Amino acid sequence: MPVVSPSHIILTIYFTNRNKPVQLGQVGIRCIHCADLHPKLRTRAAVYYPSKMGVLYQAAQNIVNLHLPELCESVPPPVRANLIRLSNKRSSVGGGKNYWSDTAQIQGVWDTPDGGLRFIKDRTTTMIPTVHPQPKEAKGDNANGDDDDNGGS
Amino acid sequence: MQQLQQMQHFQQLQLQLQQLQQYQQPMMGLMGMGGMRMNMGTNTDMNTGMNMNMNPLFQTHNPVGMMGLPFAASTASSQFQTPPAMMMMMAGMGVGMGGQPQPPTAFHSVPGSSFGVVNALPAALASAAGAARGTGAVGFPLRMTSPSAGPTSTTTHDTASTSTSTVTATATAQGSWKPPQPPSVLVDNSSVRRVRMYMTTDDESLSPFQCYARQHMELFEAQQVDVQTGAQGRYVLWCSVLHTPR
Repeated sequence: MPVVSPSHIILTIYFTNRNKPVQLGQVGIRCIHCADLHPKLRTRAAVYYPSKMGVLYQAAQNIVNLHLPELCESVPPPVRANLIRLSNKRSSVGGGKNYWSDTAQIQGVWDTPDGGLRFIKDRTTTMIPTVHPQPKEAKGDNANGDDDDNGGS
Repeated sequence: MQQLQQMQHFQQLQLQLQQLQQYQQPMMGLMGMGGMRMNMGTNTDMNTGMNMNMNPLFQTHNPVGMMGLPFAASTASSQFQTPPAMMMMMAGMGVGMGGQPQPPTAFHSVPGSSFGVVNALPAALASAAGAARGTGAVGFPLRMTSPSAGPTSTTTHDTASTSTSTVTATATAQGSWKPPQPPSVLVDNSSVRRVRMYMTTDDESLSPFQCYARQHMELFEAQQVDVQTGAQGRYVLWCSVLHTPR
């Protein structure tokens, strides 16, 4: 009977916590208050790396509804109070997630074929799409969007 | 007269080992908590690899108790064989395995051995352990490396995620070991391309809540520290066990 001692075993445990690793230069969305903290010290839902433009809205909503009012310890109390106060006021004004993706494109963010968002390096040579802001709709702030975001921390 | 000197010397040794034990206990507790940081990824012999929380030989040995029988401890029986790293540590403290007290020796000058890699500790706990062991304690070698490794070495601190952070520990001589420095709490975002989400057109198209929230979010380019650290999200656990016969 073969004897197996601990010295005979190579035990490898990997923790991968996203389905696609973050690429260098990939564009993410994050809370500005804990942006200067080391990533390991940030609380949950501080950063998201959307895989495509359509997911940007849902990632932002996660930050807005979870991180900023509840989890982030770097948010100043007046800001947190304002957020809570405004979130309790339902408004019929809502540009929808198309507005979020369109404005992100204006700011120079584009989808990449291999997934993930990137900043355009030279905006003068790239066509910038025309933004058509959505008409005012009776849409809630917490509308569910595509949840195919690429995790958050 | 010689016996008196030996008695005095062993009293000093016992004092040193008590200090060492005070240092060892928080370390053992730490390694016991870090269940996922087993880090057995190398094909290192357990006796020489000397991973503290995995080696039953080391755990059964109480340094102070063993030093109560200083000469008997030198008999390397198969059942109570002293781990080599323990022997080296004792040699570094001036404990002669052959029954003769030796002068304290720096770790890097132990013949035929070199303690290059110190088992990693989280920085905060390492600092706490360093404070607990006081000034008279010695460096704590846990893993042997090649003799080419110098007295100053780099340790890798495995974390629960896939990323690692590198810290540096120095063990130049007995009593001069410095704990690994904690990583910086802040990251340098001065060269990061970042854009605030809020635009002036938001007021026309979004609710005040959304506008206010966009003032507190930004788009940014992932830097090296973001790539290395990863982020929370969907967890996938990969575990592989390979049997490698000698």
